[in-house]
Parts: sequence; structure tokens; C-alpha cells
Amino acid sequence: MTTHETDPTKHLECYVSFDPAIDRAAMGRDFDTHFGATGERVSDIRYGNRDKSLLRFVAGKRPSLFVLRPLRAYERAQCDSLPTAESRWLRAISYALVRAEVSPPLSWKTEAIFPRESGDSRPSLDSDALDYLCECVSVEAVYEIGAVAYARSRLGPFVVGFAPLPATSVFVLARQSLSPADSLAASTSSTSTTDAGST
Amino acid sequence: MRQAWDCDCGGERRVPVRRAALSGLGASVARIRDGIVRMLGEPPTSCPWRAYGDPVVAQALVLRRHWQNGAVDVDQQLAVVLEAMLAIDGAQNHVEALDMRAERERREAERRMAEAQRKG
Repeated sequence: MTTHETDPTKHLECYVSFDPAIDRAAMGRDFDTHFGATGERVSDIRYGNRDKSLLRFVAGKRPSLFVLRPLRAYERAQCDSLPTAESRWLRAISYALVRAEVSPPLSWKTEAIFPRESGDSRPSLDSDALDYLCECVSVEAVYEIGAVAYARSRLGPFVVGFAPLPATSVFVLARQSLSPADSLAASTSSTSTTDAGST
Repeated sequence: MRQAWDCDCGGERRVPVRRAALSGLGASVARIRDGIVRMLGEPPTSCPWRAYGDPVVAQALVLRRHWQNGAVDVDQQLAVVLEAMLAIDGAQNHVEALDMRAERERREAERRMAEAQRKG
């Protein structure tokens, strides 16, 4: 079983991890193998291989598909010059997106979105198109796909393709802050809760 | 040697050799693996020959050949391939530097031994 993308030099067809059309229960452990996983610590981050054969979809629902091309060196340099992880992901997807086929339930409408033809060094997906894409599938989905586009342009140890959302991201930190609340609710605690006013 | 890496990269099924062996092929593979970690900082995830089949490594080697001929527009290359080529370059420079240092130390030891024999 590969733990990383097999060929980051080719186009990649990828899906959003929280797309309701993806049957997470049916995928089981393959979900983390495909999408990667973030944990409480940076060392808990696991890489996703984005292997399409591991995907399982909910019957009757169509997932939104994003086709990404690998970033070129000057495009990566443009992304690296930006200060935050989110801005890098947005810039990365604006360069790397070849085609997006968005459809319900992730998007509110079915549509194929193509970037403009670009022969110069400008991002092929301009800010208006990026706003429209965010409007269709949510900014979190665009962040996730942008993170894939950016991370697959980097070389990990011995060609580990890309990571899931970096733990340095404000968005990820905000999402992770919800995890302890989930785990507390699920666990049985021996500590009883008391009201401040009760005696 | 390929047999000892438990790798089927030659196309045929191999019978694995215990890597923790104290002698023979198993021990030499362990030594090579340790040497790679010592020199490059990362353990190999496959046998060295399989690495040549990796698409990024293959493209990086082609790019490196063009790079050495000075016929490359760096900005237009794929970022991951360029990074891989620089990693390969760095690894080769590091290994060559280690080889040169070992050679220098060997010559120094020979010189000292020759001097000691002359005095003795």
C-alpha cells in the first residue's frame, strides 16, 4: 500500500474529504489512507495517497471533482512568497486548477468550471472565478483542494507526495480546537460536573 | 544483492533474506541502509534500484542532464521535479565530499605510517 501519491508530475483528480457524496463509513480505514489525517500534534499528520480506487460514493449522489495540474517552479515561488498558509493554498489552486465539476450535495448547483486560457505568468483562475468557486463549494473545500495543489509541488523525504492540511494553518487549528470537545462528549468521565451556584 | 533488499524490482519473485543477519548479504544491506541514513539523513523507503522507477526521480535525472548542458528554463520546470533534482545534486555533492574526506584521511594515514617507518 502506498502512503503517498504515485506520480505528482501528472494531473490529479481529487475530491473534498467532507463531500457528503463520499461514503466515509464504507471507506473505513481507506478514508485516512486516501485523504490523509491531521492529529493533535504535527507528528500525527499522515499523508494521503489520493488513490481513486479507495473511494466509495453514496449511491445516487455525485461528488464534486477537481482536476489539478502540477505547479511549475515560478508558480511555487509565487505561492511561497505569500505570508499565510491559506493565501498560499488559494494562489496554488488558482494556478493548478484545470477543471472543476461541482455538483450537489457539496455544491448548490451542477456546473463545470474552467479557468481562462493563460499564456503568461498570471494565475489562470482570477479572483472573481475563485470567489465564484468558493460560493459554490465553500471556502473550506477550496482551501483543502488548494492545500493538495500546493503540497504536491513539494518534495517530502524520498518523494512523499503531499500532506493533508498543514497543522500551522489557522483554519486547521480552529477545526482541531473542536476535537477535544467531541472527545469529551464521547468519553465517560469520572469527574462530576457541578453548578457554580449549587451547594 | 537485490534479493537481500526483499524487493521484486527485477521483475521476478525473490525469497527475502533476513536483514538483521550478522554476515553475508543481509548484513551488507543493513550497512548500506545505515550508510544512506548517515549520509542523507533519511532511510530509503525502497531498494535503490526501485527509486529509478519513480516518475519524479526519473524526470529529475533527465532535468539534471539538461541542467548540466545549460539548456533549461528553470522557471518553467515542475516545482517538485526541480526540488528533486536539487535534492539529488545535494546528495551527490555530500557523498562526494565524504569520499574526498575519506581519501584525504587515508593518504594522511599512509603518510604518517611511511614517516614512522622511515624514523624506525
